Amino acid sequence: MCQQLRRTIRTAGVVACAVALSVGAPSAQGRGGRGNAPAAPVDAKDFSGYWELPPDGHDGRNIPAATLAPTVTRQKLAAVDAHDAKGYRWCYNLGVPNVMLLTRPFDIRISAGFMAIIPEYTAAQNRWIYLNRDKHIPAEEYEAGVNGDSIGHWEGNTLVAETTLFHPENGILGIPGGGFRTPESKLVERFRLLNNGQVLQVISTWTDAKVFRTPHTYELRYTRLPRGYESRPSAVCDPYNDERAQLFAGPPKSTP
Amino acid sequence: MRHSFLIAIVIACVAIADDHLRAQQPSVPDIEGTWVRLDTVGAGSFGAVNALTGNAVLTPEAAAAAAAGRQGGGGLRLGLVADDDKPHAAGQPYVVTDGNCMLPGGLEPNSSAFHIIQSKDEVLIVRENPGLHRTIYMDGRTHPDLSRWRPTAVGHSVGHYEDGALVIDTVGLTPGGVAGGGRRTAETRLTERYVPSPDGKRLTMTYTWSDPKIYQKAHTYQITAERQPAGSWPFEDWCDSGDPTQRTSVIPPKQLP
Repeated sequence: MCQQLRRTIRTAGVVACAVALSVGAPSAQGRGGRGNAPAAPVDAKDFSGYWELPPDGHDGRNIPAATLAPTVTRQKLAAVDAHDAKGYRWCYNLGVPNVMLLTRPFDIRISAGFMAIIPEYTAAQNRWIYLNRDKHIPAEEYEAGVNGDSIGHWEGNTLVAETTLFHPENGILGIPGGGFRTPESKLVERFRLLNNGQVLQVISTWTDAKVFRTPHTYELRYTRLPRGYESRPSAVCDPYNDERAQLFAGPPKSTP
Repeated sequence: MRHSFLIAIVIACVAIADDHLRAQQPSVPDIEGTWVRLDTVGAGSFGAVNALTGNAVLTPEAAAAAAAGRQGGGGLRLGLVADDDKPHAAGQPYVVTDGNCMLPGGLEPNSSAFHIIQSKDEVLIVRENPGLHRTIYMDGRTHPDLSRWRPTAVGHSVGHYEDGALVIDTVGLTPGGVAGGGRRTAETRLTERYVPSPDGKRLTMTYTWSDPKIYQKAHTYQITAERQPAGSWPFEDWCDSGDPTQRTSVIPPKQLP
């Protein structure tokens, strides 16, 4: 009887183990986050994982042309283009909005206080979308970098992030579809999972009366990378590499 | 038989649940948040802090290689000129940066704050200034074959929790210098233990470098960081490599008698 009970306990242990591990609370190694594997059912708020924008226009992008305000002159657009060209030449850190256009993956992790978007492309700045405050940092306390100040809240299963306090010069200013960001610009991004958690949809809307005649909205869709993906750090952008600098030295020459 | 099976399930569940809770609760430290490195010895400068972080005992071969500069530039990016830690006379210029705003990232905290994000599959350690962040894989994977790995400033890290500490194992680093006179190559192994103080306000990071080709004994030192208030936010470091003033030498002002 005793042996039989021990065997039975062992058998039940296996069953109980499976139950315990599947119900599992946070795992022995984990805290705070959840996995990024496509499990069923998918947690509709679990954006954690590695995401990648499809490499070309076949998928992942719906970027209409912006309707610009009449005050946006050709000269102003040319000045922004020149600023951004200088930025690429000198390896300016990429921030909002261009950090979201990279075709290299980024890693999203959600903690109690914020959602972090960490690009593996080293010339891009990390993003921090705060979930623990509903007001922007006072402008007089904020020293803008390339991203602006982002705060977010949940509306159902959609994370709504609002970004403002952009710097007038830092980083790349151009906006997908046309226009440019200014300190008066406001960006609202709506993050939502599609396709059973395998696609992250981000609908971005820019408002800035000095730049856009009507709010400018575009959509990007990122593909979730498989569990076990390993980040592949890119080479560091070197503004003092002379051969690299030739890329920005005017029209390419076909002769050596 | 049916009763004994039910009793067995209950016993097994209780035992497993107890083991599970005991295994997870005390072993996973809460180190998520924003931290700033402290100068706990009053060294007064970052160069001096590094000089105080241990005293590596190198093998004769490694010492000779270090002297000959064959193992890299002391951990600094090419072109970045280190503060030589010596006082400079008034008016004597010395260059502290080549103007390049791009940084490779690194293992230890620097003068910027750093942020730790703990999730199930990985732990992120992110400095506020540019450069590679650290990804600590917590999903049980192993290191890649180093013959197929391109070394980086942060290497390849895997981790686990052990007795209330985050334990990180790193290889695949770019060759160069290590604090306290150490050296490293891609094969050198770094083991780190991150342990919060009981009140959660301090974080002690113990670094242990081991490589029989470089060290006569494991090279160990500690760095302490202080947790920042909950309402803190990261600064976005901004620097323009195209700005000529970034390359300006620093001239110490004349000191009043």
